[in-house]
Amino acid sequence: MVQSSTELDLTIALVAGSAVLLLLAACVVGFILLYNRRLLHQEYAYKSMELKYQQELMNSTLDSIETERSRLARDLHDEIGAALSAMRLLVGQINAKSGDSRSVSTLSDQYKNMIDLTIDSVRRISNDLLPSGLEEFGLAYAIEGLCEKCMELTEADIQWQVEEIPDLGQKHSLMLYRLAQELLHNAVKYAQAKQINFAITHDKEQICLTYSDDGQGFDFNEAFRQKSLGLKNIRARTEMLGGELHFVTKPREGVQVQITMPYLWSAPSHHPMALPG
Amino acid sequence: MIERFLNWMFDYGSAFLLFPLAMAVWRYKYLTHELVYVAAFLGLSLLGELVATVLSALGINNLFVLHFYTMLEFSLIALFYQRFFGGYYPRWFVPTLLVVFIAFAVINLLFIQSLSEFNTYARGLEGLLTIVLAMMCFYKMLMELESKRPEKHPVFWINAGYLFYFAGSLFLFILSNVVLKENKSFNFMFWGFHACLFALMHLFIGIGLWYSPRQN
Repeated sequence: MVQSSTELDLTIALVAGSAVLLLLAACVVGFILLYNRRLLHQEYAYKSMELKYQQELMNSTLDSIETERSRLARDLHDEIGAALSAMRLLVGQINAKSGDSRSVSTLSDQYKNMIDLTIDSVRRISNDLLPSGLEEFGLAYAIEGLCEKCMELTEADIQWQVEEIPDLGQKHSLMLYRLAQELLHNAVKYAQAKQINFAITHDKEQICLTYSDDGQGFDFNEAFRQKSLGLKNIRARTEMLGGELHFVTKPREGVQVQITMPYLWSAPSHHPMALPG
Repeated sequence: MIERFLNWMFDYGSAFLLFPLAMAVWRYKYLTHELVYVAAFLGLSLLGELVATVLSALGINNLFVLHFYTMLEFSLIALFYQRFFGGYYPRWFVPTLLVVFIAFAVINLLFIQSLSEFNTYARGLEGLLTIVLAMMCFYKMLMELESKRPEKHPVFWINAGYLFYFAGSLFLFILSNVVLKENKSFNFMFWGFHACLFALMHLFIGIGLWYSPRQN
């Protein structure tokens, strides 16, 4: 009787051992599931980090480009522009000191004309590099100038509405200006539109840039696949502003663009634009 | 049915050792780092089986072999984990466990369980320590995520093999002296179950060696 009781106990021990084995098997399966889950999380974190790094790299590249453009624009204006103005004065003096010599007078007039043309070119290049009036008079003024210039280059009628955005800051103003510039230059170059509408509005939470034209439109995916630099610039700058880009376009159906971005300028340290340099 | 299966396993379970041994021979070029200790573990298993079988055939009580086998077996298991852990855990941890275990096994041999008995205490402690090391190994793998496919990592299979065998047979070791007093048929069943665990561990070790990485 005692022996059979021990045997029963041992049989129970065997059953318990089997149960432990099953439990261990479940634990190992659980380990694999947990492992794969952690692996997915790690990959996601790695990809996010990579994306963030790429975005920061892009931000700093665009930032450097703007800084360099600004330096070049100032050098052109202050040094080349000043030198050309001085040159023009000297040519005027040659004309005055040459007496009645017609040939010298004609030559100096030609020189003056050439210098005037060069001064205009320098001003135009400088203005393209650093929009005139943006720093001094604000975004609305600069975009108005941009739209007027575009109207000189195209037959389209451009309607614009740009609100002044308080506390926007120089960098963000420039970024919005570049977005507008990219969109309007594309319209002038390719759209063959009759009507272009452009607006920058804002409320307490976000800034909204809307653009539309009735031009020939294009296949967005195809253009993006062909590495259209303009489109990529628009997207990169929108991402720099922490915004969202919506492009609606089809061949022969015009283009509609909406860019919304948070109005966060009051907390610049949390914004991607708040990079050193 | 189960009884027949367990009896069959009791008789032929040792044959499962051939699979990891074949894998070790086939992949011997790639058995580096911690896998060297696994190969040594398999060699020890083979030697243990041969000595036990020969002694048993000669009618000599072979339980004394188990006392020394246990010490060597745990030493190789501890060295395997020590190598795999590297600097993840304090480096003194595994050697300390090993020294404590050997000291306990020697004391057990000299003063507690004689050479003619099962060394149940030492086997039980070995089982417990190996379970702890196996858990630590899984934890390390889970934290480091070194491999994208854990089921193709040799250490995963070898560790799972050790865990299954030592966790499953912990009670068997502890009860082994009691079981000896039971009838023969029950003993066959009992050790047949142990043979199943033995076979499972060696199958897992074989799969682990199969996945031993090629060295570039």
